[in-house]
Amino acid sequence: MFKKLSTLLLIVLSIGCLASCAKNSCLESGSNNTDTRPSPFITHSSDNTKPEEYYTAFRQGEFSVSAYLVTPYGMYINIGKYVYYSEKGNTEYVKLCNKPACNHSTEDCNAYTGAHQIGYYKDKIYYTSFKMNVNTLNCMNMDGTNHKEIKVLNNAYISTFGYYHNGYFYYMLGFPGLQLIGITNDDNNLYRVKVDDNSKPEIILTGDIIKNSMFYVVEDTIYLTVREDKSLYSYSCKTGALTKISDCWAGISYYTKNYGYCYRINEGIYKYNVETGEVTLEKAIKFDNHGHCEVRFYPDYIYLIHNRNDDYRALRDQDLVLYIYNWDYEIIETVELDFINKGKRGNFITDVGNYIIFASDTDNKPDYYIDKSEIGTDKFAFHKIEN
Amino acid sequence: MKTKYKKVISLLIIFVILLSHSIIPVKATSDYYESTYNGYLYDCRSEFNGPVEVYAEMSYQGQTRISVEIEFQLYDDDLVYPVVLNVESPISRSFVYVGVLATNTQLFEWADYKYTIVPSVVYFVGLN
Repeated sequence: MFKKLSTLLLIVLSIGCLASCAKNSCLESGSNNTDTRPSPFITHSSDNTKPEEYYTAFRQGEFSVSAYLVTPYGMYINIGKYVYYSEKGNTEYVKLCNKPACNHSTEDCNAYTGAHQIGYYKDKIYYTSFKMNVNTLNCMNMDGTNHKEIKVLNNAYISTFGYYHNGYFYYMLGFPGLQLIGITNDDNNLYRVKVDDNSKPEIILTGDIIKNSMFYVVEDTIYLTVREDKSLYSYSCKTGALTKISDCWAGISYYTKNYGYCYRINEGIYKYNVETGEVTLEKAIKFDNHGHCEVRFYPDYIYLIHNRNDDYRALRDQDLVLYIYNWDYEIIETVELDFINKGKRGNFITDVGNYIIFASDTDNKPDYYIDKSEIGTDKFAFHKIEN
Repeated sequence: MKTKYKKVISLLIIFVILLSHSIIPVKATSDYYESTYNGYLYDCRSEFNGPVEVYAEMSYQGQTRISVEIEFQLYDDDLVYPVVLNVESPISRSFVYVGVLATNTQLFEWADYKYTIVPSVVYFVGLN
């Protein structure tokens, strides 16, 4: 009896051991969605009340860089190299493919871009790809059809990092702070390239500051936050002047034509006045158990997400609380993001106008939303995005 | 009889240790693979020393050119979002390698390693 039991245990343990020792699947993340339904028929909205820039400008407060699009056709999100479509953001997300019999898990699928950043401009979705040391710019129709390469950006051993903004792709080669082994990247240029013509990329700023900073483009000004000392610079594309604004800034920030905002860890929200050049602490925010905070600024609300986990770098073991502030810096909602499963990294995705979108697992489709009309009322709740 | 039970129990203990080790997230993982292509030996070594380093190298005894590409997701504490990037070695003969080191405010979350004997991808592995 004991022998039989031991043998059985051995077999079970062996299978378990082998299964858990296996490396990650070769499937690309995000491709594990087995939903084979086609995307719906996609049409241009008849709502002409929003200016074109509402759809084409870089979305500064996103959970990622150029991963979510709000367009006149609906909402698009890029997850694991596949583009998903949702009519309103709080409605079902499906892979952007209406090819019959497509299982939406191969590179033949219309939703597949191979890219991690997407942009919208004049009825097209744009994306970059990196193959055999060549970075290219590509586009497709809003329904996922007609993928085509537009132009080669450059030959390099590293892919580009940047975003789409009003018909241009702004980018650098590589990512601030990284050191490379076996290859070099001496390129210290910030480029931009028009997405819808055959023109070549142009250099808009050169200097080592590029290799060490996050950049934000606001009209003719480029704001740069240096990652090492959190100093803030501005560069005028008109005059070519690079000016130091502050020693006291933060990596993630938000800029309008007249003001800049950032959140400094356990200090609070700072404001930069473009006209006067002053930087002031607008709202002190401190937590006893600071953990980690991220702040997303949008025109109507400020979303602060506090990760109370002491080891905030344990990204898959979060304990998140969302605070919604108005622009008088008053908290109007406090809510625990308790729908996020342990072992997953869930988070705020974006603000799409009427709704705030969340994902309980950012490696997968958004699955919760807040109706902004319910903020500050008894009706306030997280709603599930239903299939 | 007793010795037999001891053996079985020892084996069980070893398996339990192995199993528990493989379930607990291990930050440093590596992979080694070797095979032949057109009759010549090639090998691929992948390392994921999370959260700070990803590295890959490949050697091939044939005359065809080879390359290795790493695609990785990096979470940046300063910018509070993840980004995905690719690096690729120069395309060369015999031996190629490429890697990336992060700063202390960045961490690698996963990496996919793609090994090519031009023009064919001969091995692919993902580590985290």
